[in-house]
Amino acid sequence: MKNPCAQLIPHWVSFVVVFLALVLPHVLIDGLGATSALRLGVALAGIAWFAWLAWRRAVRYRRLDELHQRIELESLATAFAGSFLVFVAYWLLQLSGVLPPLRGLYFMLVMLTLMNMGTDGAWQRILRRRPR
Amino acid sequence: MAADSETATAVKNRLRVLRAEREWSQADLADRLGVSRQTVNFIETGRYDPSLPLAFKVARLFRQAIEDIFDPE
Repeated sequence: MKNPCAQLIPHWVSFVVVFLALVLPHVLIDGLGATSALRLGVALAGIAWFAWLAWRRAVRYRRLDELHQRIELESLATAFAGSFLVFVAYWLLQLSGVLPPLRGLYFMLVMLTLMNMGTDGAWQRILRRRPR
Repeated sequence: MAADSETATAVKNRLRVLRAEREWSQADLADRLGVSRQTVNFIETGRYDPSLPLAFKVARLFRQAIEDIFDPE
């Protein structure tokens, strides 16, 4: 049987790909002074690209073995809980007038960063278990 | 502490011995089980406890009862 994890790519590669997918539409929409139709086209292309990335991630997840699936789930749990905490805190500080309105790009970057931290944390928890 | 409780409930196993008897590498065993070599390594060293389906797969592969391979101590 083929090793299901042989094709694993480092998670920082995913991070860079998603980061570029975030930055490119942002730069195109904000910086090119395009017409509204073109902006909409870029936005829709960005959405399609993200949908494809999400689908690839789901396919990749199903191919992982149980240890790597557990790591992935722990990283998602960390990203969800951490993002919730960060954005509730940001929202309250924004309401108080201390912080400016949050931009969507920052929201995604925080989630991506927390997912990477969650992945590293999950590996560390497993590696810290005393070998027998 | 979380790490201590995890260590206390870790399952001891004879995977390394059974694998060595058959002169299989960790990669060989991983291929037969459909998991990564890293997973086999972590199970052997007690850092990761396999799921019940994987434990059954191991038992079937070595033609032994689960409790003869995995021991919760």
